[in-house]
Formats: sequence, C-alpha cells, structure tokens
Amino acid sequence: MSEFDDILQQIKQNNQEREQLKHAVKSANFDSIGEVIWKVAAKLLGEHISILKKRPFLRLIIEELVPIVYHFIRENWTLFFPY
Amino acid sequence: MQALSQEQIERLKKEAIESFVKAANAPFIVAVIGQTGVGKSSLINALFNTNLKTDPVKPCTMAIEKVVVKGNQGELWFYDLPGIGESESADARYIEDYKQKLFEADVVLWCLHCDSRSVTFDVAALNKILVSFSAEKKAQLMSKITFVLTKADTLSHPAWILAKMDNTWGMFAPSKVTREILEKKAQYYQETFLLPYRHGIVSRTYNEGNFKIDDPRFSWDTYSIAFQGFMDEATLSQLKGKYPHYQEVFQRLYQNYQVVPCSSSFRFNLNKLMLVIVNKMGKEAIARFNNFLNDQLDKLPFAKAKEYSNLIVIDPNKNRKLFDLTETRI
Repeated sequence: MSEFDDILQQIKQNNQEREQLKHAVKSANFDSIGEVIWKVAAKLLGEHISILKKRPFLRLIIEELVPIVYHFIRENWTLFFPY
Repeated sequence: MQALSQEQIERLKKEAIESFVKAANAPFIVAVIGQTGVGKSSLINALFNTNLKTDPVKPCTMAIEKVVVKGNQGELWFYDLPGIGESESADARYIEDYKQKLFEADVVLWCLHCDSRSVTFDVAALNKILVSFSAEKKAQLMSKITFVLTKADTLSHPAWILAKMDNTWGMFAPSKVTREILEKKAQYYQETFLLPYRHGIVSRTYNEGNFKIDDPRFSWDTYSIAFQGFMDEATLSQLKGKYPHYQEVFQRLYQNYQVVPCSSSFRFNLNKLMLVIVNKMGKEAIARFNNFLNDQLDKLPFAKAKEYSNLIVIDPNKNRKLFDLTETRI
C-alpha cells in the first residue's frame, strides 16, 4: 500500500471510463444507423418495420450493412467520428 | 422469403447514407439549468469544446438564452436556463418556456454548486417544473436529466493531486478525503432530487453483444440494454452477485442516475459525465453529437494545470518571489 494507491485507482477508473465512452458512442452510432436502414428498407419494400423485423434473412442483411455504412461514413466524414 | 437483389442492397445502402448525413446535420440541443454562478457555460465549454462567454462576477444569463455554436458539420444549440427562484414574477414567466425547452433538448444538465449546502431553490424549481405533468411525463423527463455537482475544485483542502501523464498532459484527482466528501454529497443530492421521482425511470446503456438474462426488468436489442426502474445500490449488488459476467453492464446502468461531481477547470470526472450523457441519449446520440465530442475530456495541458494549482510565495522584506510552481521545472 502506498499513499498514492487511491490516486492510481482513480486514474485506472478514468481510463476505463474513457474506453466505455468510446464503446458507448460507437454503439449509439451503430444503433442510429441501424434505425435509419430499417426506415429506408420499410420505404423500399413498402412494409412496416415491425413486420420486416420478423424476417430473419433481412435482419441478417441489415446487421451486416450497419458496420459497412458506419465505416463508409467514417472514412468520408472523419469529423463526425472521433472514435 | 425472396432474397434482396444486389441492386436493392446498393439502393438501401445509398439511401441509408443520405438519411444518416441528413440526420447528422440536425442541431444537437443541450439545455442547462442552474442558479447564477454555478458554472453552466464553463461546463458546456469543457464538455463540448465550445467557447461560450463566462463571467465570474456578474450573472451572464438573466433570461432563457439560446446560443448557436457552429461546428465543422451541423450546429449545437445551447439553452442556458437561468436559475428559478431568484424572483417569483420571473419564475412565472420562465416556467412554461422551461418545460418546452426541456422536452426539446437532447441532453438536460441540472447544475448544482458543489460547495453550496442550500438546495431549497433547486428542489422548489424541480417541483414547479414537474407538478403539472402526468406520472409518465415526469418519468420521461427525469430519465433525461443528469444532475451535476459543479466546481468540485472549490473543495480544495486537502490538496488535489496532479498526475503528470506525459510531457504534455496532466490529470487532476481529488485526495481520498475530498473524493469521499464528493461521494457523500453526490449521494445526498441523489436522495434529494432523484429518489422522489424514481418511479417509471428507465436506464439505458450500450450492448456489447450476448446480453441475455431472465429478468423482466431488462429489455435489450443488438445495440442497447434498458432497465425499467431506478437501480439502487442493493439491486446493483444483487444483480452483480447473480450475473457476475454482466457486472460492467449493471454498473453503467447504476451510474446513469448517479449525481456526478465534476470540475470544468480541472476537467475532473468529465469522462464519467459524458458516458452518462451518451448512455441516456442512446441512438439519439447520432453523428451530430460526435461533432462536438472532445477527445481530451479528462486531461489538460500540464502547463495550464500548474497555473490552476499554483501557490506563489513571496518574501515581502526582500521584495522577491520565493516560489512559483509555473516557473518550476517538473
């Protein structure tokens, strides 16, 4: 035990929170992109999102599309995405 | 079911990108409530890398003020909501506008001065705002508000510790005694402001995948997890014991309704506060928010940090300086 253990613990916790923040931001972006894709799919296919979500194949396609769209936007508009 | 053609997939992708960029250009709206001098503008500047005017002597905000900050892409709208309680007539004028702005905002921060022991005005203000709402609306609004204890650096004894992270950056941390005082204060404010309105609150956090538990209070999808209700310490510890592999998820859900002590000038706990903000926004934290995300939330230039923690010692008899931290090579 040193007198700085508490501070070192706080620094460690702060680093963990920074990593969590990065995860949270990325996940929120994936979530919002997913939402946008579902809306567009509903428009294209002329069905309600709730009905479309019951189709496993479409779910799979959209889940695959989300990171592709995310990376495309990230590479082209880096200012949007610090993480 | 018929598979999508390559053309349909390409169209889907193109339209999704266009819709996303359109949404990303929508303004990001932050509403900040608090008594005069509590450090609202400073907090926004520290969190979102903006440059709002601050005045340490006279109040900057006498009426609801909307400030538009242009980012590289999109805008941040900042509603500075003056403290309710300074005069009855002003309160009556403000209150309806307050309610409207609170629902319009993506993020609501309620600032309380860390070194103040009087919460009467703020408690009355919260009650005035919530009184006319249905239980559902109350819960909706309370799920959105984050309570912040500002100016934690004013608790300056025992001394804060400055960690030199590298040649450029420093990070402040309170001494153990100060940290414990801050935690007790945060708990007191949570009991005062949040607990009376805990029913119906929903806490959200991101999902790293594979989250699955048998508990009706939880719901989840690919990217997020929601907990229906207010997670107190007893619930947290119970859940951690039962599902130890989801400890971090429960901790984040618990943290969402903690009162966060922070310091804009020392950049203390800003990561934690921002994590709570993003968790609460969920998918609403679309790209427009990223545009105002500061990558160095928790650190400040070491030279600047030395100024903040400086003590200048002079010898008046010899008319000379004996010590100045900013001039000391570390």
